[in-house]
Amino acid sequence: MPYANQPTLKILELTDENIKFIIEKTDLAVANSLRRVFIAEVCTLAIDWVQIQQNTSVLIDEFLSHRMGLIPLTSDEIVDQLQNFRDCSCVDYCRECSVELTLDVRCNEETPRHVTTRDLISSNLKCIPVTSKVRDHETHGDGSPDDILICKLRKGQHLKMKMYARKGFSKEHNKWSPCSAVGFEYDPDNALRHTTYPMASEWPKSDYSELEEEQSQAVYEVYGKPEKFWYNIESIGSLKPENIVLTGLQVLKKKLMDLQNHFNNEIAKEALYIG
Amino acid sequence: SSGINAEYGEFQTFQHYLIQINLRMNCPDTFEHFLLHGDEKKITVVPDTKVPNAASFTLNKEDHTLGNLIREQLLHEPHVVFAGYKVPHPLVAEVVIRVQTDGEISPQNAFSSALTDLISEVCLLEERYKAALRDKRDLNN
Repeated sequence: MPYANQPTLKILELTDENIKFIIEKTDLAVANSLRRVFIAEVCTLAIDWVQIQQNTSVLIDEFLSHRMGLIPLTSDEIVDQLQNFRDCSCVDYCRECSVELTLDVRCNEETPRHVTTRDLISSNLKCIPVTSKVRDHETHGDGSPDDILICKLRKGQHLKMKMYARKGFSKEHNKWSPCSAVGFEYDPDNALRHTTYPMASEWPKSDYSELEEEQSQAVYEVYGKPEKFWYNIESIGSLKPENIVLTGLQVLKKKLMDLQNHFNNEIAKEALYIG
Repeated sequence: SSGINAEYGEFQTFQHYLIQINLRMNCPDTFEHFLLHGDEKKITVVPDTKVPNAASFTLNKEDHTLGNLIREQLLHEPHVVFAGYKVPHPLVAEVVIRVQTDGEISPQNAFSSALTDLISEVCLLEERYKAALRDKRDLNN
């Protein structure tokens, strides 16, 4: 306890898509591990099993399945309630570990029919494509609904599939990542000289820079260490940005606690052998 | 879809079978990065034979996220003389952390207290984050 850091956290900005915050009085390794966890180990929901019942479109089955996997699904409320697919007692997929989605579109008009995420029907209303969250009379700003285009069908073409979405994280496949980008910065004025600029005046100053107009780099701090870290987490929409950070912290805590349990068991086993 | 082939199982021809074998050999499953299989151990401790008070901890199915984190915390612990980590091969999800102490405590104790300190740090961070979030929401409202 006395040798643990006592980090402080300050939230600069919180919107529906972004969260900007600062962590101070901690190590670079802690900050970096958090960044890695936000990107790779926070769970969301994504389609992972596709059964194609009818596909007379111009795109091949695998192509369409891949696209379905990449569709972001709202995961905020449901990801904690679902069981892990590998831990679930069912044989394949069930209501406890997955959400069933269906798509059934046939083009009957002369004009091409666009198959979008609006056509995706979910069995659980908490898990819908992120673009469907906006109701029909609202729009995404520029006046047109921003639904993701899956496929275009000509007259007579039919696309019908059944899908299961399960929870997972980005280490397994990037479709499960909740962040589109994680901005990470420390030492904006390069006082620690972690970067060597051939000509520092060529480079634009950071948003968090505290330099004067004429200065291009801060004075070199020989014994300095990175202490203040700026994060800017941009969410895809599947999880709220504040939930990404909260879940990330909980995941890192769980990883450390599980490791500690395994370690204590290992030590106990060794003690048994010696004694 | 075609039925089960008598000779090659689900593969239609010998060529399909060979292609699948190659794909499976060259590209391991992505869940190998984190899934611990039945007989595998999460952590193995090997005392160092050449120097006193040193040990290597091999974490299975882990990467730089935990390796760098634990190494840096070990350097803050008292009585730790050496702490370093490596990922022996980028295709194999393993981290080796080497710790040497000055004898006052064992490397295992140092590792254990590093983990405890890290857990307390992340817990504190979580609390402070929740408080900051509440303040931000109150401000917005």
